[in-house]
Amino acid sequence: MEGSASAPAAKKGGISKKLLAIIVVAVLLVAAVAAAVLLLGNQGKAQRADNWLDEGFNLEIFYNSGNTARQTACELIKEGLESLNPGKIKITVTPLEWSNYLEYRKTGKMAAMFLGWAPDYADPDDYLQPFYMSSGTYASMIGYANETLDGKIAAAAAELDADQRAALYSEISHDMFEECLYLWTAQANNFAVQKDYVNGYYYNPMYSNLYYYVLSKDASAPEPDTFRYATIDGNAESFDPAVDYETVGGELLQNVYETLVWYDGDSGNDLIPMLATEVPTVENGGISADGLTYRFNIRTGVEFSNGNPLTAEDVKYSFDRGLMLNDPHGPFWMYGQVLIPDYYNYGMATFSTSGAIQPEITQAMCDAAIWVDGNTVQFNLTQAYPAFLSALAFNAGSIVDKEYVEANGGLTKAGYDYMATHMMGTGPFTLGEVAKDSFFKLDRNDNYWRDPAALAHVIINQVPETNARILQLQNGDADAIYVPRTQKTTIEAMEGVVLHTGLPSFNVDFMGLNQNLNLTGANPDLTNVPADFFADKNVRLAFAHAFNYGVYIEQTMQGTAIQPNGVIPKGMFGYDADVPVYEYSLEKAKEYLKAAKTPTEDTSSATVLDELSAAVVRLW
Amino acid sequence: MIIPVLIGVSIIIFTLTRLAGDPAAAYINEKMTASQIADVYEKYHFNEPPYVQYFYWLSGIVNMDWGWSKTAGMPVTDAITYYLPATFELALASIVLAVGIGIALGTASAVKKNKPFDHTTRVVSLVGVSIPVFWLGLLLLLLFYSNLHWAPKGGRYSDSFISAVSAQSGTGFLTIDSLLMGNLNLFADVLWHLALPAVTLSFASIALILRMQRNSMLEVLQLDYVKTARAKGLPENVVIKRHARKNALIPTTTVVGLAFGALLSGAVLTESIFSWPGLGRWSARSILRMDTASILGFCLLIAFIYVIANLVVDIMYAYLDPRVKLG
Repeated sequence: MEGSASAPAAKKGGISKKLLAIIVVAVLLVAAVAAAVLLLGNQGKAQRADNWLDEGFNLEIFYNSGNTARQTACELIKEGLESLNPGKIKITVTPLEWSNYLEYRKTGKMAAMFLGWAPDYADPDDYLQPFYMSSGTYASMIGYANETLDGKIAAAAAELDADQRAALYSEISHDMFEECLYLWTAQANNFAVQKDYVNGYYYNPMYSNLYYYVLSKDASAPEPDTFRYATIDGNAESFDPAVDYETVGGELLQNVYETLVWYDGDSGNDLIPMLATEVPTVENGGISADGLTYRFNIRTGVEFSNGNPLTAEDVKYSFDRGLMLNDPHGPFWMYGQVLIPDYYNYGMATFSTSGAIQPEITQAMCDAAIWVDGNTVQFNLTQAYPAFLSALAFNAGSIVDKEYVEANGGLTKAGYDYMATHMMGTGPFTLGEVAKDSFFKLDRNDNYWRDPAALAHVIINQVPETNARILQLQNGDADAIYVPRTQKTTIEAMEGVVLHTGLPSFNVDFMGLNQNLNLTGANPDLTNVPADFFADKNVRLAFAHAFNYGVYIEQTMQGTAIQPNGVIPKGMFGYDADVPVYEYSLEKAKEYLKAAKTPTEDTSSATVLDELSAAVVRLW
Repeated sequence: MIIPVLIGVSIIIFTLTRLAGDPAAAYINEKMTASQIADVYEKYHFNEPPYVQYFYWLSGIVNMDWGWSKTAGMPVTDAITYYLPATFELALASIVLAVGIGIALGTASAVKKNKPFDHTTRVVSLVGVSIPVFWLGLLLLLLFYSNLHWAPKGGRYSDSFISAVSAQSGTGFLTIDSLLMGNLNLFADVLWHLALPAVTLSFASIALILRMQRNSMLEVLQLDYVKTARAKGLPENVVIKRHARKNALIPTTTVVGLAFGALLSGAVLTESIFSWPGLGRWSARSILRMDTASILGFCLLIAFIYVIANLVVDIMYAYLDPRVKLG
């Protein structure tokens, strides 16, 4: 047994040696393969850095061709970012035609969007709504939604106590500085060029260009009671305050029509009574304690330029008319949103074949919103909205002559068309002759309820060529001209010419960073970042610090602008000077980009598939 | 021929405007909500397939509803009746200048071939085609308006005639309207305003016509019948004016016809420098803001003008060349 036992044992030992050798070899082989795999794998890992600074990225950004300011902005952000890690960060700047630019923006294909915002009315809510409300135009464009913030914005918009309200806006501004959703690139200063014999000019950021009532010329000036302004091409879209929503028509409206309240001198915030006898407040009882009703006593003794007296009925008619027409291209949303319940469910009025109006917002709805009692008009708001007063100062709040409108068609297609080409207001001027692409003429309203204007005639000439306008100014054929900021040095060198600049407008230029990038059809050689690249705050902050604001303002605006510290412009209610600006610092940009982590999960196969399908789409 | 040509042109330009980008862009601004944008697509049928859109547009054209020009702020048909007279007057004035000067100099240049006069006119004509029109226009404006005060600041008439012009609803051709009104002061003012832009605009055409006329004159002067005329002992003056020049005009006429067509399509730069409210500025701005209704209307008008210009050229042939008969 033993022998037989030992033999197999010996045999066993022989086999085990062989086995051992095989096992050893196998183990070695496995180890070698594993080491190789690990090593190679590690090499693969080493190629992919854990942060965007070292990893680098490709990104294509766009501007609309012809817009040199946006082009400069794109070049500057490219320069700043590429210098952070030369060769690894590649920014491609591509011009797009306007229609394609809109298309790219609409479909979310634009990573960084350079845009500008000019206010409808002088209130921070008109800035916060589009930029930060989840449903806002720009917030949706950059794929940002934040319910907490929405609540804060709504609370600030409804706060009746001015100090409380300012404090709420200050808090939001500080929060949004941290959040860094947008880069605030420039807030333009005014830039007005006039002859030195022009008197009375001051700058109000809410005016549509010039308010001729305050202007006059020295008696020694040529034709002292006629003012000539030479400006660029552009026709008014309509002369109807309920429809027009652009600055060419706006300039005419603000000189021919008047509103219940108006801006106090050069302040865009402070209001004075115009066709109302006083600006309503909670203290004087004009505004109810809950902020839901606004009462205006209508000024007596005011006549339209045709001699018809102004009544409270005219006021109601003006607003009823605009609300019922409800032109989606027009400005009346700013009243409708607080006067008509569920306003955004209603569309524009249509006209029957006979020309009768078929409004979606009915007379009954207007009657619920606007009451007339003798000489008093009361607006019933659906929610507390202190910005309502500022909105009333906008051109859309112009009071038209009910009798005049009704005599010329009233609320019919004919009346609508008539008011698009005719004006009848209480303002200091009446509309004179008009020729498309040539001029608008305003004549003094000698029936004006305040002192008549110093100027008897204003001629606004359309002179498309900048040099031709400068020659006209030099020769005294123009008393004031529109000049692009690039001509600043030319203007400064001219004799007898005054350049007014240095006061902030309410126009803000910005760059939005798209947190939900649509990469369909994107070329991976030009853009290889993930769709949520900008959802990382560090990436946004890196961009914000890589942009040379000073050079941008110098190059595109000849220094006639300031760097904003947020969406609420300097000079407006709610602005907080303590909010810092994003400084141009490549060091900080580097730090933030280093802190921005690249995605960790292995998505190589998906990426290959994505790239393949993208390539197929491109080929297709 | 006119109808098929115009239909062909309309299909091409319609396709091009639809390829160039989203036609809705002109109606959409940065402040509109998504539902408002959707309404725009619905209202203007931009959701429908292009051939359906073409049908809508074509039936509008036939019914004289050419759409709304956002750029002009009025219907396209009104915009054309407003801008065309201004452009037509300018084009006519400059083509008259160009033809008069171009043919006279071209003929003289051929007769005095390789003499100093010929060299001078050839250099001048070369300069004429080479000078950028915006530079020439600004230079003329600087010299004649700003320095010498001989020319007006621009526009079609002086501010002092604003009420006179606005009060009447004439043809839009201010030279004709002013005469109809019996207002000679206005007539003179209109011509005064026409002078500088017409000269500016005619420069390139002068050069073109001059060179064409010179070359064709040189060719004709070689021909046997001219030699015969000279051999008959006719005075050189008669040989040149009666025999040679008339035949040399035939190729020049073609050039003049096309040049006039080009001038009628508006001169963006000249119109801009002289604040001339013409087709060029309107069409250029329409293109910039992708105002498709205006662009389509403008292109169709230009196609029509070219067809007519060619027709006129053909008729002129019949007058100039006895071998060509009408009909």
